Amino acid sequence: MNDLFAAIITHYDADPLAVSLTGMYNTEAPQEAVFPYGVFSLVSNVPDWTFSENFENCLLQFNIFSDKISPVEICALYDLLKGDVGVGTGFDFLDLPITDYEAISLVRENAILLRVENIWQYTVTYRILLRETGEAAKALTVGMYNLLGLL
Amino acid sequence: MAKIKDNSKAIIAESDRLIKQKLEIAALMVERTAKLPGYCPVLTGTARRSIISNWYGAKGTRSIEWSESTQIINGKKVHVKAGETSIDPQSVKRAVIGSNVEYFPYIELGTSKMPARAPLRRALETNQNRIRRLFGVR
Repeated sequence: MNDLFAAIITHYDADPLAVSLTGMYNTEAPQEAVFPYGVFSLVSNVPDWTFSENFENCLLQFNIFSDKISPVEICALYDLLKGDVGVGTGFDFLDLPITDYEAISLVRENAILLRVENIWQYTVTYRILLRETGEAAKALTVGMYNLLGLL
Repeated sequence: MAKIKDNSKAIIAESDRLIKQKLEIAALMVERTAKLPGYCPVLTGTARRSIISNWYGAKGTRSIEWSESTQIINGKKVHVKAGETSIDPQSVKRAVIGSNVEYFPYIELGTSKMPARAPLRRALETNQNRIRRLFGVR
């Protein structure tokens, strides 16, 4: 999953969202993080397969935080996070380039706006379906044929 | 003259029984997984103890509503308070796994001071393939 994290950070660094946030942290932000900032975390990663293909079914959560009184900033950040599919910004339907994997879909499942201790928080969850295309995928196919006694 | 016997009621009743049974199994699988070590953080154990499931056709104390809501049951608007026995638990074919602890959403979603632990979503994801097989979906 290191490749997935690297792909997310690479995309974020080149995205307009990076200009508006002070940082995007993996799983946990440091104590000294300056608002507004974002955190992404891998909620789950379930392997799935067919006879010839190997998939990874992941749930990825983005949290964006703002300490402003008004929700204007947090809503603008949420719009940037979603991005524009036509232009290729943001994360909605993003084709993440990951080594040995092909991103089949990156679909926003839900978004929840909360205000916790005077901090606006947008929790946005994405479902990612990755198809393995590298050497591991070939090994899986050979393994399946072996299992069936075909090789 | 041949007689035609209508068994549609028996078929519907049997399918309903299977749905109830499978929803109960699915709900309990997710509830049990969410309570396993590593899923829900434990300090006093209150959050972990509070995880409970409710499903279509559940009987007794489990047949409760999670939050205050207005439901439309048989075409009528019915207001149900949190913790009350659902007026018609038979009305919706669903299973719900949740908690009535006030801070549970923060454990599930995280805050600016705490990372998300997501015990319920992780438990559901862990069991998703088993639940699909249970309902005959590959």
